[in-house]
Amino acid sequence: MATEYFVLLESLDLCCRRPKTLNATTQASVPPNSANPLIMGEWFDIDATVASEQWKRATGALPAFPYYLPMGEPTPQITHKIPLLLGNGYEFDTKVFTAAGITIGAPVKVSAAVMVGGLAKSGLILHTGAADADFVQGHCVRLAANNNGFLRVHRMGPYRIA
Amino acid sequence: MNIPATVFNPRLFAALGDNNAKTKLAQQGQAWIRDKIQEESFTTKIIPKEPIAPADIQVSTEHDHPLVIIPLEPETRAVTMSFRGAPDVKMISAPRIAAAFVVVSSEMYEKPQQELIVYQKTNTPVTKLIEDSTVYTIQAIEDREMTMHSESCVQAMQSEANGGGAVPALFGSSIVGGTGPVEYSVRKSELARVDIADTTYSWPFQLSDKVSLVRMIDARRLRTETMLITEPDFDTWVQMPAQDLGDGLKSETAASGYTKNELGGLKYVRTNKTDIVRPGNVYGFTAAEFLGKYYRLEDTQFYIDRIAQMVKWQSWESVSLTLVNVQSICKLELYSADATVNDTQTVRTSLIPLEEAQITPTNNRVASGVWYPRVVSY
Repeated sequence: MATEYFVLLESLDLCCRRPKTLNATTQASVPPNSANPLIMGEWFDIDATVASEQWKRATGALPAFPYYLPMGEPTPQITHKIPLLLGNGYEFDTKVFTAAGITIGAPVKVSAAVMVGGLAKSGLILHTGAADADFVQGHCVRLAANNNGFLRVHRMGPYRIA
Repeated sequence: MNIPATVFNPRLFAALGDNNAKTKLAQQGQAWIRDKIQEESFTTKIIPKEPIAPADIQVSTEHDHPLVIIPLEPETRAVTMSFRGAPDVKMISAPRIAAAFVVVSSEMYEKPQQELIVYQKTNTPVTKLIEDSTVYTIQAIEDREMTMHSESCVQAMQSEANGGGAVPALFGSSIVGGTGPVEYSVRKSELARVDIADTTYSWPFQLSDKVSLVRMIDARRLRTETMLITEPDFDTWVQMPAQDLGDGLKSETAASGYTKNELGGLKYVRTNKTDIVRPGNVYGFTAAEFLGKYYRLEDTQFYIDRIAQMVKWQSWESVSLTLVNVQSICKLELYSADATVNDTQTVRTSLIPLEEAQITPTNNRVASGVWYPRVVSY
């Protein structure tokens, strides 16, 4: 079985989720044998350059939402859509993060430069507070050292501190 | 017309005893106005939808999505040789591809049960109407997928026939100017190919266009079996001249429209889903055995439940549509504009299927306050 990068700690049925169309650039990363394939737990935001609603790997500057489908699951290759968890108030474990500076209770944000398996993914990093203009996506409730390598986050966002 | 209940009701009860009158009564008794003609899926008329049992699916070691393995016919060759010769030796293998399923689902509908009473009062079985309508809506989405994949197939072959790389633009003025691409799987109709205005206007379909359509596939050791055409384009068949139809058929067509099941030996499927197959687009397909596979993992499911006072309902089904042989599809364009991704005249959005959220558009304008005579009440 593929590596598990993201574990939802809430009933999926209670989470608001919707299939969202990917932009053309991100579609190229859907197949599992692509150069930098999408993995579950990556974050996506809307592509503001496209008139019709299309989504891309998040960078942190816009509200972002996690992707909930195992790598290789073929539906996105057919539909060009991925399921995103749009809601709030749930907890999840993730391996798509950079640990530097993250403490219990610290806010986290999205960065497109989180290294997983030598590839840059859209994952979580420390949000540095009032001077940081990016959106907060949640708060750390358990560190990886005490959680089998997963960062546990309470999804509470997206919001800006400043 | 104001018919007193004392007159209407006895007639009504008398008619209910007459079987012939009952059907008409049922129609007259319908309280709601229909918005559009709901049409069965055209995809299933081209590729029948087959059920697939759990025993026939394949599993992956990487995820929990069921797959179907579709094998293809292996290639064979023969050579001439002398009595002392020997042929090449080949380790046989037959190609296989994997096909996956998608869920096609209606929206999740909900309504407080107290508000549903309003619909009972107006004799409108709204839950039943939505249940019936979602079956067609789901099929429309599946037809859209078929159309999108068919378009991908023909454009892939256009690219290959024109040296690979980007799909070449195809429009009337370039054909007239002698700079048009090789029309291998997509061809402009006889009237479109001489139209230098390069517009989205859909020219009438002629019998010679049927010939142009089928020759593309028939040149590939395949046989065109079915044509998919929109109702507006089919409507132009009544204009076919007598020298094409013959005097007898022309007379019949002039009076009753074209009523035969075939045109020049080619079966055709008409569709009113002009938001999916846009007018001017005509597709030709081989028999399903040369084309692809269409599976359903489960019959259409229908869910309805009441949680506290909220009634919820939803329909869905899981299907897998794969067009395996990209050479088994061809396309005729009755308009002169460019429908490729090059979008030379920037009109492509009028020539390709609408987005999922836009299909099955509503005809009535009641939401905009347009009906006549308009009576405002509160």
